[in-house]
Amino acid sequence: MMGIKALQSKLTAPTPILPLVIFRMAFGLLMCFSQLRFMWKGWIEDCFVSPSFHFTYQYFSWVEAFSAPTMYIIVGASALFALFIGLGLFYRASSILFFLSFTYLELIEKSWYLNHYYFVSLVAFVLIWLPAHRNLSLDAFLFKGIRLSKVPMWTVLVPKLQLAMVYFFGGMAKLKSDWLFEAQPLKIWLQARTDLPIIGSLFEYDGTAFAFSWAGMLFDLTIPFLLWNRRTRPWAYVLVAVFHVLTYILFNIGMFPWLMIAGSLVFISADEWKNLFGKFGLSLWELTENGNPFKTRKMALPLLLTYLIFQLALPLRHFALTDNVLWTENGFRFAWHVMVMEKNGFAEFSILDNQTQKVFTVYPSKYLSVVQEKQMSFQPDMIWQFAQYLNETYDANNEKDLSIYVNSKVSLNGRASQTYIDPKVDLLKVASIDAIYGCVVGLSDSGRTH
Amino acid sequence: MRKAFTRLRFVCTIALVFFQSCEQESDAEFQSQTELYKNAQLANIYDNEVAVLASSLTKETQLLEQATKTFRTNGTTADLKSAQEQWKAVQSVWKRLELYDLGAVANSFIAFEINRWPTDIERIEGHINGSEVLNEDFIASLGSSSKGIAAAEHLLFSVQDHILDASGTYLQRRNEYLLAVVENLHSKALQLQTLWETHAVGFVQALENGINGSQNQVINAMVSLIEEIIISKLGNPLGDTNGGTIVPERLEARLSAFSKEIVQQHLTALKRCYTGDFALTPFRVGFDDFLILIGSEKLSEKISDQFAVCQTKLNDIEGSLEDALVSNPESVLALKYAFRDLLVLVKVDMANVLGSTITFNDNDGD
Repeated sequence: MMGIKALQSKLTAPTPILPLVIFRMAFGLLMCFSQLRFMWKGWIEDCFVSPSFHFTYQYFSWVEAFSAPTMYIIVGASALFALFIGLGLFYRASSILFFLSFTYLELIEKSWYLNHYYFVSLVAFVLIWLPAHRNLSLDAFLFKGIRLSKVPMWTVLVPKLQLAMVYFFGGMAKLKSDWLFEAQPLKIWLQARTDLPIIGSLFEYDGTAFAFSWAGMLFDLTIPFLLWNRRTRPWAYVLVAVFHVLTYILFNIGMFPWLMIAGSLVFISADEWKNLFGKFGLSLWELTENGNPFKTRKMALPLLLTYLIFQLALPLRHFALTDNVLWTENGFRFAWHVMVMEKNGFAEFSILDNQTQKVFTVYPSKYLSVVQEKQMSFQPDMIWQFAQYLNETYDANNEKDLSIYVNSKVSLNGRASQTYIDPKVDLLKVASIDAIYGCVVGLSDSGRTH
Repeated sequence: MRKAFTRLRFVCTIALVFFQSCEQESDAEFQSQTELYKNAQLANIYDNEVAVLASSLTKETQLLEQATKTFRTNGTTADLKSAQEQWKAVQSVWKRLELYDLGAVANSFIAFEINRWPTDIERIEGHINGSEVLNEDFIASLGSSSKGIAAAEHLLFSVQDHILDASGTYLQRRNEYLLAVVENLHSKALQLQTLWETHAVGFVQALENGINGSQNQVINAMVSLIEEIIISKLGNPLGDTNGGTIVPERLEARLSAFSKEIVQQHLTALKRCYTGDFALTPFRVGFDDFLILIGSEKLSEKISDQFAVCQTKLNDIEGSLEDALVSNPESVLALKYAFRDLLVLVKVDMANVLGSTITFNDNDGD
């Protein structure tokens, strides 16, 4: 009981608001840019508008895309909400609306799942509950009474923990034989980047891939602790910047590196910011406080604990679901499996009309976008979903007796392609999306082609 | 803390010098064998295949134009036969060049203007029976489904004796339309050649691995062509979409009975692209060499073997593809399966070990 009280008092102890404010600004402005970039790249059409069929998430099949103009408005609005978060304008409403709009967009299409999209949703959700606008914000400028210079410690701790979990579980996901003992998929990816000046020639050697694999794993597992430790923090942050800039140069990884670099700013304490400014002859003005201290509500800490337990359990669930998460992908998403595999697949479907004995061969490219087809070809749940869609398409009135089979081949981390889903299984007889994982043929390690 | 930031400034300076030197290095020779091979492969593709085929297409379309003019003037069956043979020569070249519809050339959509299949027969006949002046300008103003190689096939191969014997306006306008189509085809062939000449340097030098990298684009083009063969050129006639009822009408170039030859030309183009054996040059790099270079000898052999399987299955088809569809569909099905296995090896296995981006979308990945 004493321990809980001590923990509670530690978590509610006042701490400078500056790191939280900087985190808010960095996150908001970066997300604004990210959403505008999404529009500019034409991904609204590619992801939301063009596909006639969407792979929705389990329990979220009711989420649907709207017409192109509406989708532009929603993405544009989410960019605006993100900007407002960055500026700290109408913060609470902006953070709620950004969370809702961004998460809605993310839920429309599973084939576009990215770890950093999930991370953004989580951070946006967390920000709703944090007083990140109570200084250095337009809200604090307009409503001077809300200004705070200190906030409870837990409000700065939550984004730190969230970020630390991405790194730590990302490191754990690398504790696999492919990564450590075959240097895969880095061996493949680095060999494909020998065009880089100076360091490119090093990528021809297997030793480089091994060095990068082990260094990457060690970086992910240790960096949260190095960032947390006051002594190691300056170098740890430099390491974060170097590591992520390198991944940006080497891989087609988009916003993720910048998000992690910006997010890691939350670890830098107020004193360190002052010192940093001091190095350049600048002084950081004292943050004033006009409002009442931020009070932690009774339910805040238990809810926080529940949230953290959930965040710890989700990335570990695959241990209970499968013995090879990279192959079966059962429990792969929402678990920070970042950059751990090169996977390609092929799938063609046969539809048997049991009454007429006619067989139709379906090539997914007729119905799916390039991204959808690529992602579906090696993800069992999406193969199952597509089979259901074909059933609805070929038997709109539910009058026929159809069976649907898939001929699928998948290659993982340089292995020769292998049969993926049991071709004898009638996908329409697979009762649920979870049951399809039981139809994945085991991975054979023989026949590595690389 | 002060010490740490002094060190930080030092690291930043080093990084700045490093990136500056990176820029200076960009003009230097290839620093890795992989890049050397990639550059040699792309140069080989352009110099010994694309440039040769593009030039050949120009010549063959010019010859077709001459043959068509002769046929229009004399109107004999022998002249028609001669024009038909020349059409086949054009088609043979195009079916090898079609593989390289990539990059800036693909963005120009010129491939559609040269050959859009199936052609719109009703619209063509409508123009012939209409009152517009039928010349190249008119053809240039039309959509791609009313012109190009496929339209020329309809005009050359659907000619019946009664049409040849007819001396009315229809025959005259039909020949005018044919000539205009062929003239337009020749113009497009010239345009394609110029396009390639303009973009050749960019193609050969695009060594990066992203979607703009030429090697990636070639792999994507190989995948697209194999899929096209499986789905449209073999699958549809085999009845993939209708429950297995054979539909010979869905064969490409059925009128000219050239369907099998088209598949053969595609196979030849794909195999040459894979092996790089376009000409007897000393350093002819293909994907097979590239795979060996990165340590995937087994896969390199497997793909070569699969090309041989495809060739065997194609050789097993006696007579025309249409005849085989009717009398021995199993042989066509076997050919389709052989191409499907080739597709898996290229799209899945080869792309996996090369880390290629088999997508035209450069969505972020993490």
